Amino acid sequence: MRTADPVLHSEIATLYTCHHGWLQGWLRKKLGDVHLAADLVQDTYMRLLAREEPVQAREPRALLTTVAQRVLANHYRRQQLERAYLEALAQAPQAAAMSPEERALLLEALDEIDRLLDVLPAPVRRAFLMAQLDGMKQADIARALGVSLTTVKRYLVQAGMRCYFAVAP
Amino acid sequence: MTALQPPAVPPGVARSAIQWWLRQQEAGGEMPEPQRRAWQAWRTADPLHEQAWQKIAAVNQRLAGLAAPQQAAIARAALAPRGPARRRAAQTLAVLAFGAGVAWQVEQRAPWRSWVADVRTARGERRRLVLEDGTQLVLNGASALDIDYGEPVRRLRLLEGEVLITTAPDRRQPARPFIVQTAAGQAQALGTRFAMRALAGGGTWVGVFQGAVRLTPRDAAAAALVLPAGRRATLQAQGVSAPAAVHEDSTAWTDGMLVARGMPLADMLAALQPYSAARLVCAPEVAQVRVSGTYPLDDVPRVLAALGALPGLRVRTLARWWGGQEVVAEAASR
Repeated sequence: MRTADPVLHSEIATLYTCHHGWLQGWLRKKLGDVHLAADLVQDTYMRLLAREEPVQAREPRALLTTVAQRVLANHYRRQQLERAYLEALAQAPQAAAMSPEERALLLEALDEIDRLLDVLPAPVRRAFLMAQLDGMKQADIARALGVSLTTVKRYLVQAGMRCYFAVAP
Repeated sequence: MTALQPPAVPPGVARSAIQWWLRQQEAGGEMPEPQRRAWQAWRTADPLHEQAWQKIAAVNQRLAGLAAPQQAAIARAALAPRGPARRRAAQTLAVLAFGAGVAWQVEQRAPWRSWVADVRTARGERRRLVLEDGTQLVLNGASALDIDYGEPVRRLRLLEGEVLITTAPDRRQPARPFIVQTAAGQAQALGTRFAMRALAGGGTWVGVFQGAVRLTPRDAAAAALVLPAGRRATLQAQGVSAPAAVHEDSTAWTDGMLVARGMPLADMLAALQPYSAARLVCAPEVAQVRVSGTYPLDDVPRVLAALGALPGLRVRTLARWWGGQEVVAEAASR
């Protein structure tokens, strides 16, 4: 097996020195926030470093924007989740009894699941949550979503496969 | 490097594991016997199958935390698909989270959530619940319960720990029977207040304080028995033990107290276990030592110190290699 790391690292070092200022400008324009842009530049390079294969980018800026788009999408996803979470907490009296630590832990757990489910189509996601969080029977889910039982089964397997392969062994 | 990793599970095997997972969920954790056997056979047929199943169990465990009733409503609202649905889900929270108690967490189960749900308490936690028909539950520490209010029965499944139940008459017509199922069999409430505790050996302790309860062993329906108020018995899969007297004291845990009147030390440690992070171990030579007194459940170290001060008894705390602690009660002379 070939170890790609040294190659990958030197490639990313080049990408960083040559394009880091440009990427930060690009993100700042999107976000309108210098500090946030700097954070996401960091995240973008971290993501590149996590790759196992060399980058081999002929168009380094195109690659950087592709990866940064993903980082940006994740940022918006997280923002939406946090907003929904705070809204949910505000409406749940039992949340008053939760310590700040518990709230943070719950948010992290939710973030993990949210990231898993992010790529799934809305009905698949909804079916999965109905089964997992509400313990609904498949027939009830089918009725609630207005689809056939076979479709519900397909949805649940699809979501299950997603979780299965996304969770580390 | 690669050689040390376990062989990758092919997607087909993962899919089969997921299908078994779904079947199990659909059956509410209790697959019919032939299906359960088929599942076991599948797991043992190939190490890869078992490996896939173990991963499913890990995935399931992560999700189970979010499905706890305390968090399910928040999780549902936060995770609902983007758009208007998410807002709607947040609004339904108001229905679920109805009247939170001060010392106790009271949860009202709204009719729209009348399907299966797991209720769990952590170690050292007690919880009161009011079900949709007005039936009241008090869960002891480290307990788990499935609630399945459907047609034609109102059914609870005691999976772990202890619960005190005060049933209410069903508002539906015709009234649905109220049944608590355990690994050992089932108990049908006949207008009652009663407690059930899952025992380590698979049996279920049942004590009746009002009304009566019909106990039906899982594998011996003919041995069914009606337990009247003031009696207790142990339900086993093959039969029911001879009933004995039960005192109201045995529900003192609902007030955070343990009332012992000549209670065997082993039983007392078992009653404290749901409140202790350390494993409580009773040496056989002192298991039958009788203990009396009223003890606070929420201060186990104090109770253990009090026990250690009894003549002839010694209580030691040992650190175990796996990182846990063990408290051993044994004869002082050793």
